Amino acid sequence: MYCRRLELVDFRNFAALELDLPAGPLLVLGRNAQGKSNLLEALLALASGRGRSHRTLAELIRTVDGAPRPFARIRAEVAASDRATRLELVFALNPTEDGGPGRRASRRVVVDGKPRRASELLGQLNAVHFSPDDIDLLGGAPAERRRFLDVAISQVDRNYVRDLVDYGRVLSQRNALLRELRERDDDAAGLEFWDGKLVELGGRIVATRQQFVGALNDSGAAAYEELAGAGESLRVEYRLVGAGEDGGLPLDLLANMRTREIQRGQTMVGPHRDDLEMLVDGQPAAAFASRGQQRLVVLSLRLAEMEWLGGVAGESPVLLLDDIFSELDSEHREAVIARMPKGAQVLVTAADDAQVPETFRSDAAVLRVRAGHADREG
Amino acid sequence: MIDGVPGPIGRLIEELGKLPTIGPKTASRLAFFLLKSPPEQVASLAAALAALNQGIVQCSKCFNYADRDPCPYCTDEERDVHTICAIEDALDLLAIERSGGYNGRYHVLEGAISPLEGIGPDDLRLNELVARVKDEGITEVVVATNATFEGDATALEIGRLLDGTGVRLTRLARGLATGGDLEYVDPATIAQALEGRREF
Repeated sequence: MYCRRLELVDFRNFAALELDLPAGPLLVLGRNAQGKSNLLEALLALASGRGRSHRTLAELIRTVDGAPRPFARIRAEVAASDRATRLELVFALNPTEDGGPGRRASRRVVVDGKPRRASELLGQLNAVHFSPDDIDLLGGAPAERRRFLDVAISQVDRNYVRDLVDYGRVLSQRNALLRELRERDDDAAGLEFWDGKLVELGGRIVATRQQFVGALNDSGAAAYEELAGAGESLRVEYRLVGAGEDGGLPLDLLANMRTREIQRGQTMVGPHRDDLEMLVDGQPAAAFASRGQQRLVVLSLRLAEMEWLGGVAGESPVLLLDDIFSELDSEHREAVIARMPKGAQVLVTAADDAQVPETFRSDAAVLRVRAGHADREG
Repeated sequence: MIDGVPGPIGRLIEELGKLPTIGPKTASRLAFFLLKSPPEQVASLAAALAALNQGIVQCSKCFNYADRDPCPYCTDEERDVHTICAIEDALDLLAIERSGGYNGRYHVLEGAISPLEGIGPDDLRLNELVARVKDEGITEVVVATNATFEGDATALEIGRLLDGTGVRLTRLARGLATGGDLEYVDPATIAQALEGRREF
C-alpha cells in the first residue's frame, strides 16, 4: 500500500502543503530544519495516530510567533491493492473552561468522509519509521520499547488495540482501588474482579507481543547478520517483569505482590511494565555494543518490523527512513537499499546529496523541501 | 455576576452552567434562547422546574423516583412479585420498561463499582437488595448492569453477596444489535454473541 496524495494544514512547520507522492522510492532533500522529518512524521501519524516518541499531540500543531494555530490537519489518499481510502486526521487543541485554546490536543478521524473512532485509523496506512533517535530503543526507558511493540502490532491487529485500551481502563480502576485499600488499611476486598481482568487482558497482550518478538528474532537476526557481517548475532528477548519463566501473568503472582502493591498504590506487574532486551552475541546491546553496532541493531529491528507488517497485511508497508545514510558507511548503505522491498513506497530524507548512493538515487523521484514548502524535481 | 450581562441573565447562565454536559458557551446560548422565547414557554419551564422536587419521592424499597412511596412498580400486584431486576440507575428502568420484555420488580443500585470515582460496594444499594431477596421470597435476580468493566464488577459482587441464598441469578445477554449487519460488528461482540448462542 502507499500514500498517493498528502495534504497538510498547520502540521508542524507546514502552513499548507499539497503533494502527489510516487508509488516507489522518493528522495526527500533539503537542508536541516526545513521540514523533511516533519513530512515523514505526517505519514507516521496517519499510520500510528500520533507523532514520534516523546511528542505530545499538541506539539504536532504549527505555531506562529509562539502561538499555536487552532488545529493541524492531515488529509491523504491511500492506495492498497484492493481499495483506495481517503483519510483525514485532525489534531485540535481542547478548549479551556472559558472557551480559549488549551494546552492539550485531541484527535478527530474521518475515513472516506465518515467520522470514525481514532482507533479505526490504524491499519489504513501501514508504515515503518526509522530515525537516528531510534538508538533510544536500546538505551532509553522501557516505555520506548513497549511503544515500539505497540505501534507495530496495532497497525495490523484490531483486537490488540482493543485489548490495550481495555487494559488501560482496568489498570486505572485497579490502581485507584489499591490506593483506596492503602488509605483504609484494608485487606484485598474487591480486587479479585480487577485481578481477573488484568490477567485475562494482560495475558493476551503478552502472548501477541511474544509472537511479534518471535518474528523479530527470525528476520531481525538475519538482517543483523547480513549488515554486521557473519559471526555476529542479534537476539531479542521479551522480559516479563516479576514473572516466572513460563510466561503469562498468573494470579498467584498478583497474590504474592498484593501487600507491596497496596503499599505503593500501584499495579507492579503486567504488560505495562514489561520490557524488551536486545542482545548482541549474548550481551545486552545497550551496555556492550559499540555505537555502530547499536545503529545496526535498531535498523535490523526496523527491517524486521517492515517484513512482519508486510507478511501480516499481505502488502508492504510504507518505509519512512529519516536521515538514514548519514550514519552508515557506504557498504551498509548498499546493504539497506538491497533489503528495501521492490515496488514499495520508500521515503528517504537526506541533507547531503552526496551521501545518497546511486543505487537508490537512480530509481527515486526527488522532492526538495525548503522552509515548509516542497517541490517535486524533474 | 458575569461581566457585561444584566444580572438576571448572568444568574441564569450561572445556574445552567452547573448542569452536567453544559459548558459556559452552551449555558449562554440556552439563556439567550429562553430570553427570546415566548413568555408562556419560559413560564412553563419555570413551573416544571419548581414542581420537580414537590411530590417526587424516592421509593424506599427499590430507590426509583416516583410520586409516592412505595412506587407503582413495587405495589403493582399484576407484576411478577418473585423476580427483581437490578439496574444501575433509574433511567435504566425506563429503558427496560419501554422494551416491554420484563414484568417484575426493580432495584436501583444507584451506580456501579468504580474505584476511580471512589464508588465501592458500600456506596451502592447492595445490602438492601440482599435484604429484599430474603424478605420478599425472590426466586430470580436479573442483573441488568451495563456491559462495562464497572457493570461486570458490580454483577460479580451481587453474585458473591447472594451466593448460598438459592436465588437464581441471571444476566442480560450480550451480542448483536437488532438490525445489525454481522460484517460490521466488532469481534468482541461476536465472540460474546457466540458464547450466549441458544437452540432454536
